[in-house]
Amino acid sequence: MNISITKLKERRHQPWKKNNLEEKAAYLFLLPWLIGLMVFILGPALATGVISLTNWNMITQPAWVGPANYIKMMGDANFWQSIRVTLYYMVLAVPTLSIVGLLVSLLLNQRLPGMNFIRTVLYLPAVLSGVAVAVLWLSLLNPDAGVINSALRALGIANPPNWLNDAQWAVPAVVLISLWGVGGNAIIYLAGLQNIPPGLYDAASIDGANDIHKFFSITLPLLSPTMFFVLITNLVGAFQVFDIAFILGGSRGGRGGSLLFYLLYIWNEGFRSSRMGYASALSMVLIIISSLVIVVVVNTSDRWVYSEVEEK
Amino acid sequence: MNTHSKTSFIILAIVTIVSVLLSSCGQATPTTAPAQPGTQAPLANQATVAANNAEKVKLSMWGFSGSSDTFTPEIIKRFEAQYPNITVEYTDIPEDTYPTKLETAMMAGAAPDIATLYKMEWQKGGKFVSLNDLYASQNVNLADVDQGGLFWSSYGGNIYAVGSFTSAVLLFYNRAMFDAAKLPYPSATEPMTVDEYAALAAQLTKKGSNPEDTIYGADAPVPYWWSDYRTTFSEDGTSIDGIFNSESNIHLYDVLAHMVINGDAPSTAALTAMGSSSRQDLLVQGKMAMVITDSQATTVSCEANHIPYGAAPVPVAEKGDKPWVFAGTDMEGIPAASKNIEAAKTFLAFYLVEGNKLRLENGDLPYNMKLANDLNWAGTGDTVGRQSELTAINLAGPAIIVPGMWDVVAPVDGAYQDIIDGKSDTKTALEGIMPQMKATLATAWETWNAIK
Repeated sequence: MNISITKLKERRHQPWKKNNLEEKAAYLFLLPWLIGLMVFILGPALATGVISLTNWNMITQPAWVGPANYIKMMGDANFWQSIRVTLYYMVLAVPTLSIVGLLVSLLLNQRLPGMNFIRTVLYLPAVLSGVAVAVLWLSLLNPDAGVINSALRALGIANPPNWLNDAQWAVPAVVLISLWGVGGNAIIYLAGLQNIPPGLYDAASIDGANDIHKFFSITLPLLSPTMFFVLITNLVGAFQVFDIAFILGGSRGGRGGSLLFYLLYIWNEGFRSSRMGYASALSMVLIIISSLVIVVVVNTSDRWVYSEVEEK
Repeated sequence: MNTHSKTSFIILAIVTIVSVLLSSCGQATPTTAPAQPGTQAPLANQATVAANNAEKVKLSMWGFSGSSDTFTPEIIKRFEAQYPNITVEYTDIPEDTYPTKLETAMMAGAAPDIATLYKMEWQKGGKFVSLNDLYASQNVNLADVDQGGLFWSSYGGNIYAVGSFTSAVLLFYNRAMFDAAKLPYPSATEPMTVDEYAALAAQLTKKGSNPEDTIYGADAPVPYWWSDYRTTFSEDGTSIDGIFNSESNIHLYDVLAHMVINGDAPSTAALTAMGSSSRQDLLVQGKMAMVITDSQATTVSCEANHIPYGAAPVPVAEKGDKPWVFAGTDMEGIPAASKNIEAAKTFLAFYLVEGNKLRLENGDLPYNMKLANDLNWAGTGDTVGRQSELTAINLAGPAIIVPGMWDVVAPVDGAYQDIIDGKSDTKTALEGIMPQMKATLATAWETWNAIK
């Protein structure tokens, strides 16, 4: 078929012309997803924004209060506590999960007998229900009768941590529980590792590179897109901690609010205390904070994420 | 912007606006106006049972009685036998999600016809129908019912729920352990002071080499939930200053914490080691001589295991303090948005009369205390235990309304544990959490006052 460039450009800018069936089809296929996005995500997000400017207790009609909820937030000790707890968890968990996931994937990438079985076993905790996992760990972390502290005492540690009963150890306990599900990250890293052309390692060996050189010069750079993906998903996951915190610390966020994660605080305010307006304001702030974090990470990714696309 | 982008933008904008409008079409418009206290909400489609007995009505009922509850299925069965044109479908919901689920349903106009009252905000906000006429129609004298349960079922001069049983938080004791120690039973009318309670516990404790082998004299749970709310809050429920940190209240917490420290009451770790899921288990097993717990479950448990028991009002801080008994009932009411209010009232009228009789048959103390006396509830089972229980429960009276109370007192558990662990003295521990409690209380009252 001989079509001039001009005619192609015309077709592109006139999608509703009869002969642009392909473009019409594309929009039609996109439409259900777009409608879903609007109805289930953007629409409720906009509604949340409006409700955040009201004082709604779910019993009487909402009353307009303007930015009062946001002003109140600034002086709310529980708000700052929930920010502290969530950020503390993020700072501890995200690097730990990323690094441990990478190390586990390097082990899983070895060609050894039974490796498929080991990969399955390591991935299993990631597919278990969060509530079931939390209930299990509640027993394991019992300071007096739990397996963890019994093992620590057997190793000679006379005063093991009080875990969930100690404000200092509560968040590290949640990080420990999260590490149990590191198989998910490891599988993603494994996929990235197996995409690295083996020829590069061979070439490096010929040039005299040792394993450490190969790791830092080949593995890490080529794995950086996968690391970026894992980093983003872990960051998002850190903002979404709820079920584990609810089971381990109860609805009020544990001893001294040590497990008062942000999402748990939103749930408390909205559904337990019937302060839906304030909870909506908290939700809007969460959207802003999490968006800022993700935007910063994405904008700085150029400096450390390797891309195979040639610069023009 | 080129033509292609402009067209795409317009299409996307239209989709966005339409979708936002669709997603913002929120609550179903209720078919009833919100009930005002003292009035019944007018309905377009009420099933008037009296007018047309042949009309089939299906009532939905929500509660959290638990999967082992046999009372609710039985009362429904008896009701349906008497009113064959009305069926009742009961849905059991876990208690921790029940208030949220019901509130959401009420907001969406999808509330059940009968539901258990849980938050006084619902009464204040007119979310339930007044049942004053129902009590009158069944000739139930309000003075005859359990006054604690009546308090929690009412607001602003209206009663919003009926009950079938009476349960109270009392001090239960194992009579056999007292007889073996040759100690007199606690009085069913005069509460012990906390010092007397601690001294008695010390006499009854038999220490073993580990928690599983120890027999504890008494229970020392954190007192905010079983002692008079007036030891924490002012009479109007708006303040804790000078009350929660009063010398008397500090003494109460101090003595109880030291009972645990001295080994006369079990610690949390000891309770875990003993593997017991409830306090009445420990009483029945002979591992604790006195427990502070719920009467309904304890009576059943003790009688089933042939443990001679007694009941008394809970300890108070000082001599001369008024006896305090927290009593309550199952509070079944009718959400104002129900489409079958008349049929629901028919069911609740049956519940108020026949439900109380069924409770008696099952050995439970009914909500109607006159019925309990007339049918000699205390004359069956463990008569000594039941008589002391009935005497103690008759001390129950009105409590005080404190919105969001459980959120306000949430930090107290941690402070109490700090006292037991020796991390803080009692006064410092209690005063240290007061700013947080006050802030939560202020917010709770703000929310409460916004409900009109």
